[in-house]
Formats: sequence, C-alpha cells, structure tokens
Amino acid sequence: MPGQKAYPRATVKKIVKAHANCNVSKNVDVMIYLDYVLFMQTLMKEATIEAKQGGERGITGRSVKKVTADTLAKFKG
Amino acid sequence: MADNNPQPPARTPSKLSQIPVRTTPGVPISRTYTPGPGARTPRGLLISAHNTPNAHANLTPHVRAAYRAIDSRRAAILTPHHARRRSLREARETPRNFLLQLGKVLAPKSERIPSSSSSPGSALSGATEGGGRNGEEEGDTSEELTFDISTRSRYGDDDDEEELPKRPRLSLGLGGGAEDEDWEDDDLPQPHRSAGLEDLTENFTVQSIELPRRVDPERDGHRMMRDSMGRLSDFPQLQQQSDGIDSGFFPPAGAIEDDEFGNAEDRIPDEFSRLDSDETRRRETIGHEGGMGLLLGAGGRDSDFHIEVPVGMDESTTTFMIASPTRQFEMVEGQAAEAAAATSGQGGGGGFAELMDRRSDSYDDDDRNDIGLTFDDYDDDGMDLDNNLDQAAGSDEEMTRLSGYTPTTAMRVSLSAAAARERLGFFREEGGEGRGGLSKIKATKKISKHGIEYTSLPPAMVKRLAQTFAKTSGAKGNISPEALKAIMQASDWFFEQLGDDLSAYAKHAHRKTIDMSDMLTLMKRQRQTNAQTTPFALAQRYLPRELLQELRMTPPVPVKKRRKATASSSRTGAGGEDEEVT
Repeated sequence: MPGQKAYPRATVKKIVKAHANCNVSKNVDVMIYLDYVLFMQTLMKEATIEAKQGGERGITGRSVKKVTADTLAKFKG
Repeated sequence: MADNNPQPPARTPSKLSQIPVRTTPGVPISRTYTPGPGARTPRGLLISAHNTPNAHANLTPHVRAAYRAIDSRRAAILTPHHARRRSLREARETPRNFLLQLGKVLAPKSERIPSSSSSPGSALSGATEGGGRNGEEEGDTSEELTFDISTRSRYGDDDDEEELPKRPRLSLGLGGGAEDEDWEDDDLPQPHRSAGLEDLTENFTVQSIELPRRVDPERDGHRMMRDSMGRLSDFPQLQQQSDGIDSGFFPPAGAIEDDEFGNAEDRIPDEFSRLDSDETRRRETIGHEGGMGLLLGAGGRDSDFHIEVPVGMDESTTTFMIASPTRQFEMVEGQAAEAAAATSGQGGGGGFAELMDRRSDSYDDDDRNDIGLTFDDYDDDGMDLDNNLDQAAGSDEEMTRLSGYTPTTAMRVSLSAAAARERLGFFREEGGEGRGGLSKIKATKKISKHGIEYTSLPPAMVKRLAQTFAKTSGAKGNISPEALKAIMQASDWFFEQLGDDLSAYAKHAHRKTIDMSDMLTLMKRQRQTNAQTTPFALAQRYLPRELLQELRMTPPVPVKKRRKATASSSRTGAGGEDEEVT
C-alpha cells in the first residue's frame, strides 16, 4: 500500500474525459475516484449478497454480472 | 476413555483368576475353619439349616459365612473347572467352539490315518474320551496336540471351505451357472456392465480425441498431415508412412478421404476448422465492408499463402512435414483456415463449400489452380499496402504459378502468413470492440462514443479495491478472474455513465469543463451525500491514507471548494441542481 499509488489519477481523468468529451477541472478526479470507490463498495456488497443467496463460494462473475445493472442504476445521476 | 478401557479387562481377569484361586485354596482353609463351627454345630444341623432358610435366620453370622463358604465350595466342586472358566457366550455365539468339539469328536477318524504312522495309543485315548476333553487335552502329549492342531487346521479349512464355495459362486455365476447367473444378473449387470461400457467408450473417445485436441497445433498438424497423406495415399510408400504415423490417433487415411463426414473424429476437426474459417471469414467481410486497405491486404496475402501451402505440401510433403512437425503444421493449419476465409470471403457461401471440396479432394491440382487464380485477382485488389509482405507474397505467387517449389520458400511463406495471421487476430479483436480498425494493437485500449481513446483502469488496482470491499462485505476467498472481468466491465460502464452525467451537467451549465460542483451534484443525486454525510467525510472514510494525506496536503483549496460547493448547492447550486435535474 505505501509504495503503491492509490489510483492512477491520469487514467481516471482520461477515462472521464473520453466519455464526457469535456475537460475535467483540477481536483474533480479525486471526487470521481471517491465515487468509484463508493460504487465498488456497493457493487461488491451486492455481489456478496447475491453470491450468498445463490450459494456460491465467494464472488463469482455471475453474481457480479447479476448485480451490475442495479448498482449502475443506483449510481445514475 | 482410552485409558479406562485397558484397565477393566486387566482387573477383571485378575478378579476372575482370584475368585477361583480363593475358592480352591479356600477349600482346605474352610475345612480347617469349618471344623471350628462344625464343632459347635453338628453337620446334620448344618445341612438341615442349610435346607431351610429359617434355620439360616437363626444362625449366627459366623455360621452363615461358613455356609456361604460351603456353598461356594460345593459350587466350585460340582461345576466343572474348565466349564466354569469358559464363557459360554463365546461358545454360543461363535461356532468355533462347537466346531472344535466336533473336530475333537471327529478327530479319531482323522487320527486313525496318521496313527498308522505315529502313536496309536494317544489317538485311541482321544477317541474313547470324546466328551470332556478340554482338560485332558492340556495334559495330553504333544503328539495329540499336534493332531488336534492338525485336525483343527483341517476343520478350520472346512470353515474356509464353507466360505470359499461362496466365492466360486460368483465366478461360476459369471461363467454360466443357471441359478447364480440369474441371481447375479439381476444385481450386477445394470449398474456394472452399462457403467463399465460407458466408461470404456467415454474413455476411449476421451483418450483418442481429447488429448490430441488439447494440443491444438499438433492435432491440426496431424489432421493436415493426414489429409496430405490421404492425398499421398495414392502412393503406397507414403501411405505406409502415413499409416505408421497416423494409426495411433486417427482412422486410416483412406476412410477420411472417401467420405467427408463419415467418421466422428473426422467431423470434429472439420467443424473446428469451419469455426476458424468462419471467424476469419468474418474478419474478411469486416475488412471488405469497412473498406480498410490493411484488412484487404492482409486477407489477400493470406489467400496467397494459402494457395502456396497446398502446393508445397503436395510437392514436398514428406520433407516438409518431417522437418519440424508442430511448427510447420501450425502454420499450415493457419494458412488453411485463412485460405478458407479467403475463399469464403470471395465466393460468399460457396467459398466454404469450395474449401470443403478441396479438402475432401485433398488438394487436387485443378482446384488449387482455380483457387490460386481467384486469389491472384484478389491480391491485385488488396496488395497495395505492406511492401515486404507483399513482395514475399508476390514472389510466392510467382512460385505458385510456376509451381517450382522449395521448402525454404514454403517456410518463409508460412512465417509471413503467421505474421499476417497475428495481425488479423488483432484486427478481429479490435473489430469485435466496434469498428476499431485504426486503433492500436493493445486490447486494453477502448474508444468512447465520442471517438476518444482511453484505457480502462488497471486490473490490479480494480482487483485490490474489489478485494478489500469484498472482505469488508464478508465474502470469502479471492476474486476469480472471471469475477474480475465482470467487475472491470462494470467499472467501465460506471465510468461511461459517470462521464455522460458529468458532461450533461457541465453542458447544462454552459461549461466546457467538468467542475467540482458537477461532481458534487452527481454524488448528491446518487444519494451518496446528504445533509449528514459530507463529501469530505466520505473521502475520509473511503479514500486510502495516501489520498487522504494528499487531500489534507491540499486542504485549503478542495475543502473550501467543497464547503462552498455544498453550501452553494444549498443556495445557488440548489437552483442549478434543479435546473439540471429537470
């Protein structure tokens, strides 16, 4: 953890820039990353619940896929 | 428990051994004692008192004890010694004792035969006193013991023989006994034979087909070699060679040659090759429709290679194949697939049939020439772009026309074909993403709907993040690559959605840059932040320490901005928010 970057700031900025076709101002990428972290948290929580309901061991691709749509809808602005 | 168990048996034998010991030595002792009370009370009185319990009640405890001793002595005397020691349960439950007794009873019969050679007296004594011989046995001579042992062992053999007939029954039943057969046929065959047959067949197929299937290049190489050998099967010498090579995995070449879909084994590789050809054909069609010169050129080149290959294989098959099997076959296979693609790309559906015909005909010269001609035309269309490969292809083309072939050119062609194939593979990947013909080879690079290239987040970071959250949410184990793939897909979609939303907000505010207010609005609309949870609190909770430190390093700007933003969202931003919402 200490040696690692928390997240690739430039990459996040590029991604958002590519999708939004807009410039991204200075510290927005931190908040974007925060939002992404929250999204990931929700996604993994939902996937874990789904996996447990489905009787799977750990999180599988199926559980994640099943949950993705709902979580994305939750994070629709 | 384990300690308790060994102790009681150790105690109980000692008690058991002590009890008779007490009684038996107690006999003389009690005799010495009984005269004491016996002197006071005459024996007739004792016996009468013993018979009537009332008399017992009158007697003194000392006399009762004496009676008890007498009773125990009587019991000890009347009950036979060996019988008392033995536990009858064993004799009842297990037939061994009974059989031993039987053996002893029957022993004289068996003994008479050896008695002629050995001692008859002991045998006679054993024969006369058959009933209670346990005590005598112990005291008898070693010879009789040996006899007994021998007889026991024989009757032990009888026990085994009683068991043994059951075992033969199994074999006999299987062999063809009438009743046993029916008996066992009901039990065994349905589970056994069917399962065994299935296993056998499945194993055979698995062993014969799957193992080569895993090693794709070798298998395909074998297949190609088989085809070529089928072509060469006209020549007896080569056919012998082919048989020697192929017989392990495949049916003889002639059968495959005759019918295209005759054998299941043959069918499977054909289907595989068909799939490959379909993929390549898709590539081809994509290239045609897109009008991408590169794609066309690649296809044309491939077709060139393709034509050349069969020629080379025909002319110098033996040397060509034996030289370096796997690699060359791989190349050859790829070329074949590409050739299929080329033919299908040109002739539409008929191309594939043509390929199949060619395969079934095993590279007849006429077919090859036809394809070569068609590919020549095709090359003229598409061969403008890559200089080196085109030169190689052109030279090879000439070689095909001249049909003067050397293995080296074939090798070169195959190598160039492999390179082109790789490119084709890349193009296919890019094409699968969506008309990304110009995008670079990196598969991670994607293009947004605005035509801007971007790379998705590094999977390692995503995996780390997902794993931490999976652990906190209580999931066990690591995240499988499949799950990671799904998560990466989800995060890609998330960023796409987020970018759309942010751009919508910014455009609504007539801005060209995404501002912090947009992000805060978005988070508020996502219900991630509300009056209780500020963005900074969320950042403090969720962002890693380095990022928090970074945020703290720059507290004045973002925090103020955030506060302003959150505050302004309540006053000015709220209005904008509503406007944005509607």
